[in-house]
Amino acid sequence: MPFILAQTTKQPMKSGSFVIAPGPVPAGVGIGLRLPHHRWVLEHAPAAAWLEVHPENYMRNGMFEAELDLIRRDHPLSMHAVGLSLGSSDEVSREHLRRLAALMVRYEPALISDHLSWSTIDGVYLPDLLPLPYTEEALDVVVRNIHSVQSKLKRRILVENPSSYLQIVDSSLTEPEFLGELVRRCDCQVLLDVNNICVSAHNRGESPLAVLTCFLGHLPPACVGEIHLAGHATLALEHGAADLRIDDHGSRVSDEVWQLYAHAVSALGDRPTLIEWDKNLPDFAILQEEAEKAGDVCRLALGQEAPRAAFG
Amino acid sequence: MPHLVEFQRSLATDVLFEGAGSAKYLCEGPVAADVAIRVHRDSVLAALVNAIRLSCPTFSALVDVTFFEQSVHDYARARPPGSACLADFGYEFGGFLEMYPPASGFPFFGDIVRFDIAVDKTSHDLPGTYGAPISLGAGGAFRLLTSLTHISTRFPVDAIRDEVEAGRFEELERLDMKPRVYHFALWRGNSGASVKRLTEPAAAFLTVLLQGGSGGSAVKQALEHAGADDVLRALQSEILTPPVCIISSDGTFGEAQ
Repeated sequence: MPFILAQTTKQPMKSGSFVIAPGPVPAGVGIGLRLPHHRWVLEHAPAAAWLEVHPENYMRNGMFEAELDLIRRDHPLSMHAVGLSLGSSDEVSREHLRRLAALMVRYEPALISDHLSWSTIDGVYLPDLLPLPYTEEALDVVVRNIHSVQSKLKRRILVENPSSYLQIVDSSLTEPEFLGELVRRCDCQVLLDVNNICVSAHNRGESPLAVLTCFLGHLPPACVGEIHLAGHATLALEHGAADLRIDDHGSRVSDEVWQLYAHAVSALGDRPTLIEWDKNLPDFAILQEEAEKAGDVCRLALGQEAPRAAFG
Repeated sequence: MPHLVEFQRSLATDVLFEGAGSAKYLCEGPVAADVAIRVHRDSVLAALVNAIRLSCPTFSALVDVTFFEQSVHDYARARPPGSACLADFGYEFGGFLEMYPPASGFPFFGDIVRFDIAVDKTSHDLPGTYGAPISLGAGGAFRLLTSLTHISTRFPVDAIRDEVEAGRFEELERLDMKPRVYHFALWRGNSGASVKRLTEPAAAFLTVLLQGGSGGSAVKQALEHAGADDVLRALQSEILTPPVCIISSDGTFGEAQ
């Protein structure tokens, strides 16, 4: 089975200046684990290739954390943060980073990621992924914050392209250019969210495929360490305006996003891929169906005959 | 483009307070800027409402949806979260409601929220773990559950919560809502949070211990509220009893640790 950089080895692998984490995340399809599914996963031990959690849900050191200890015994784990606020002109919260570092020691996640966005300003946290202007000043700020996180955690993180709704004046770089510079200056990786590319492109009146192609053209393939897939909502606006796409993670992956995923995999090769679902969370079996479909799409895109190892 | 910090302050204000100061930093696209900001505002407020709904199920069930959401929105604007761990959000919500003009006719809301949050926090603790031994003198000692905590209210919030959980809203009118002091012990049982009413001496005893005081000072504080016999009975039946406490006559605790 192919593994990405995070292989289990007796000698930690190194890339650039950061040690690659222990614990394998296979280049199969993982599932975003949400708290309501804990008991089901513990009782049924589903053969998901790997699981991804939001570390902010595990900062109480109580029951959820103990349950995740048990789940972690059977599943490779990835941690997808929402609270580092990498784009904030505030420095990264030391307390949040301390909590994240403690979870990293406890669970040994193979991957740690957050978003190219901000949530905190002047110490106030807004629970959303707010947009950045893609300017040189913002680039310096994000580079500073990623360095701060990677230095504390002593490992590389992945940075995800967010969904966007706003268009900010005076951005001097495109999003792919901005991410490419981050990779170059921080030795970080990229979490390519294909659904977010689709949402953002539509909301800007651009072609999702053209935008994806732009991403693939600007990012070294080796830097893409993970792909995210999710559903999004389409909201019809009044007065003949364009439809609004909302990244709500509340439905199955759309056909358009499946096509973009196939295109991405064709260009990048097999990558750890995650099914995310947050709103109107269905039974875990539905997430498994989506993961199986992702495996099929990937296999077809790569021209492979044998079933991909999304499930045991 | 202004400095990043100015843009972020402006957009944060618009998202949280429905301002329009960030408009000058935004350009119109297929989606109008005000519509796009509303997407972020809805996302922020929905996350905060959901966080309070999860931690305050009694209060959430007791008031109508519009009042609940508006009170959380107003609380978030008055005391926005300072941490990305939303389990931390809401610890001041009870106090906020006691000063919140639309809730002025409902002085028990604050207590209900504080009790809800205490139960929620306890329900997420680990069951069956005991703290360090506390000396009883003469070689004896006891250990308390690490999840054990204490809360005092002016209203019978345990009864209110029970009736709301059971859907017996009509029974709420029969509760004695005259303000007086209620003390509760909360701990994590095997199937969730457990609650027990405490007498004054037991509450005084537990308060001292939870603040790190010695067994002797806790007893002394309990004796401020009742005679020795009553204190002994209260402590034996309310605190120094399983499952919240394990006692050892020789301080060893055997296998019960």
